[in-house]
Amino acid sequence: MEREVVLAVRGLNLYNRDGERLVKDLSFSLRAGETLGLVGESGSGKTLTLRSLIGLLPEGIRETHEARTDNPNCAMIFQNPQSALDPLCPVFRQLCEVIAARQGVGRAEARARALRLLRRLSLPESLAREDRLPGSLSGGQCQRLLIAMALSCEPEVLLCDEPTTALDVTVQKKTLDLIRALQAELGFAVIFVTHNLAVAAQLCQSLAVMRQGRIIERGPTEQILTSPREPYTETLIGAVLPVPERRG
Amino acid sequence: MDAVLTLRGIRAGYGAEPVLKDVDLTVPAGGIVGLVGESGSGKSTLARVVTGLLQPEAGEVLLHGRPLGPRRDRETCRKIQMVFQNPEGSLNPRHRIGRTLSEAMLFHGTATRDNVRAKCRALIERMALPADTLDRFPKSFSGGQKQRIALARALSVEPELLVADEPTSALDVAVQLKMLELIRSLRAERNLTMLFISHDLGVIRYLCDEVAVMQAGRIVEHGEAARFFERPATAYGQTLLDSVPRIGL
Repeated sequence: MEREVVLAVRGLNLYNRDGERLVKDLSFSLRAGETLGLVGESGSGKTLTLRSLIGLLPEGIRETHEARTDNPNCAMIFQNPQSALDPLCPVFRQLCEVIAARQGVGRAEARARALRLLRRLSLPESLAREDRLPGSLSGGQCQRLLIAMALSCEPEVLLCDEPTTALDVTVQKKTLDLIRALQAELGFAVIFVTHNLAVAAQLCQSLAVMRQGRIIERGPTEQILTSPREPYTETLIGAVLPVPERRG
Repeated sequence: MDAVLTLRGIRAGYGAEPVLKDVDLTVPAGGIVGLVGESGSGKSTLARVVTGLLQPEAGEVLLHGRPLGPRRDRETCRKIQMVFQNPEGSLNPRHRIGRTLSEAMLFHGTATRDNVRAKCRALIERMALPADTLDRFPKSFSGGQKQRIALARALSVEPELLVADEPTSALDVAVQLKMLELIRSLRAERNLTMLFISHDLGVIRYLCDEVAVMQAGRIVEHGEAARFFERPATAYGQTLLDSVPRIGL
């Protein structure tokens, strides 16, 4: 049985102030629990597309579309976790505020739920006792905190905008494993934006390759990686510098 | 082989607890040594000590076997150049590229007033930058172009050691590959000696002859790159290798 479609967009166009079309005629749909990788170089329109889905378009960007899901329940995590947090507010308080606002619960209940999320994401529980500012957390911890905030919205779709690009390899692996485990447990769909095909291959069932605002190729991850049709996709695959597998 | 850079027993940091604890490292002439390790392990602090931006609390930095004192003269500064992670921050936004490049060359005496313009032009041509680069401001370039300009500035003064701190991690994979190809061809041409810092093992494998692994302020393993990727000597090295995302399904 096919699962329900949680997000669908048809004929999405995004224009800047000068009327230049930055995203061109984009269509895709996503079923519950599915993971779609949006790959392409800087300036190909990946991030703008995500921002339009969650209603966070920068000022001056105009959107037109033929059809799209009304108010999909989305949450987003960003490339630079440190700058997505208020630097002057203790992190636990930020998490509690999001929970209180999104789930409509009182302070005590929000604290209890926040504490459960800290444990679920392997963040130190001391964050709840000490007033720690974002600057005193590592990049990986900040990103997990943002994932906790995103999950507190109980999203149907988690939008990930290069969430591991600013992290080093060991932390990147832990973060990807975490997203995968949470997805299996909670069943949300994921749109994962990255310029690194190797990262996308770890996580996504299907890929859409974007270039200059258009999706130029899409399909199951395995098919795209083994028999790409577009030369540009080949370039992206060739740009992943290999490291040999462990032997023995 | 003659060692261009030698570090002996370096201890350095910013407060009570040192970031670098007793670091020894040698970079041979004509070699590219890759320094890997996770964020916070002390890689960038090491680069700052080598380039003289940070004074070590103990230990010494030797260039061609001669110890460098706490105050470096102009000639020593010329010999060790650096390319930083963030290309936005390493170019003066109010100076045209021509001025940025020629000031460095005139200051260090690698060009004269008469030939500086010609040298600048030859350099940007070699870096495959647009012909009108010298008359433009940094903001009109892409990240990859800016990083090539930063590399051009560093090479314009003919350094003996180039320290590159994550020079490609702010770039797209396709742009990154172009930058690495450029460094590889320049290396053959100019016999570059480099200390190349990265947490991306794919990049290190592509470029470096030797790998030094840093963990919590110490170098825990240092050896030939081919051997490291075949069989790392430490469990931490293995963890790093296992964490690399691979395209294979």
